[in-house]
Amino acid sequence: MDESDLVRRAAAGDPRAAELIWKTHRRWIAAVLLAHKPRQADVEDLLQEVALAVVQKINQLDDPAALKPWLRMVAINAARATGRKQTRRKGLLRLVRPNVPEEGEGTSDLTTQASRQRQERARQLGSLIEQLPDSYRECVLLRCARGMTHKQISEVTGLPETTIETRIARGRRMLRELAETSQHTRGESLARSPS
Amino acid sequence: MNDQLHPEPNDRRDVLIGRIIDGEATGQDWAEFRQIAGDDESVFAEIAELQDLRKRTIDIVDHAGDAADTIELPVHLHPKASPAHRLKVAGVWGGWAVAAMVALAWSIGLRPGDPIIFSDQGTSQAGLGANVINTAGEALQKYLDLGKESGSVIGEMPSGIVLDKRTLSDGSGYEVLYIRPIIERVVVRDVYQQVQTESGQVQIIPAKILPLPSTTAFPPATPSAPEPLAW
Repeated sequence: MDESDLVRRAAAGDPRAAELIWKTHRRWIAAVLLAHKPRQADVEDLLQEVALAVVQKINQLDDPAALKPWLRMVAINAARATGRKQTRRKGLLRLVRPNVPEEGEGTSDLTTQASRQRQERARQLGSLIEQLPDSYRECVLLRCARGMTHKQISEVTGLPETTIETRIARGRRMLRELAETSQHTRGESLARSPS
Repeated sequence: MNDQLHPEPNDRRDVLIGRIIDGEATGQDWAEFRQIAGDDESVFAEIAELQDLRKRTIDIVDHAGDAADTIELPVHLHPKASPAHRLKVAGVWGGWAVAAMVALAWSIGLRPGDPIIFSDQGTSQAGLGANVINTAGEALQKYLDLGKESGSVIGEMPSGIVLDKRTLSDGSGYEVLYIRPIIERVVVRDVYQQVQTESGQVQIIPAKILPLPSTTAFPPATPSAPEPLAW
């Protein structure tokens, strides 16, 4: 059965068809959300919203062949809507944080320390990725989603494959330059900080 | 916007490097790259940095993808899903509803198993001293009032969520299945966080609770607020 048939069946209320569609595409949808979500928004919460929108609106999809661009737009809309809601919820979400030791406390736990370093590096990279232009950021992240080729990204975004490849190449170069600048700045601030 | 209309000087070089780090370079790409590397050896350091960034970006995207793999589609909410399917799925998530029933019985001084007879069913009343509960609506209102007094209930949402509706067989109206959302509050003191160790094992560790600044804090719990739940 091809994907258009699946979409028609899902739109008609076949839960197995809808589930199959979701399971096939949810990983790259997460990458789209990462690319468009506001900084503090939680990808998991957004995925729940996209899942709900898919179930409730798939019967509004006029062209079953346009499933991928439609899923992308549902994800982008969910991310944008969260951005609008975020100011209202600000302050209520950050109730807890992991019980990580303070500086100098419990540093003998090498596992925890290594894990903290990895998390910190991921956070730093995440903030650099946020600085990329939207159009580059989405292509760079989609390319890192499992199994996403230029052709598949082209099907999702509706852009030519050559454009996708150029955006990814430019985005990666910008990311490397940002990382270099950030490293340089951190080095300088460390050099300036009192001992 | 079409980037191909505005080529940049480094585009070809960046694309070649991209193909190399993605493991997709052709023989012709490699020949072209060797020419570039002959003029500028720094390109090798660039590739190493980009490979590292690529790997770390994949980790971030994989992490989000793993979260996606845990999200199931709420198919019971499809506009065309049958009411039977909706109720079946709702049953899976029905644990909270059972808990709410128990809480309701507790709040109005009844134990689970005690009879509550609703007069709107056309039968007798249940006498509870001064607190006579005649209807389910009254019982719920009592629950809301007591809950608000004790701090365990914030209030009821102004509107419900309709699950299904169908015309009555005699045409005199509709039968509507809906959810009435109630916002509750509990005090949780033992908070845990799921973390991944360096070896990839998942561990549950106590999470630190940070006091909120006074402007964003919830109102203080009243002395009669419910005890912490033993989760």
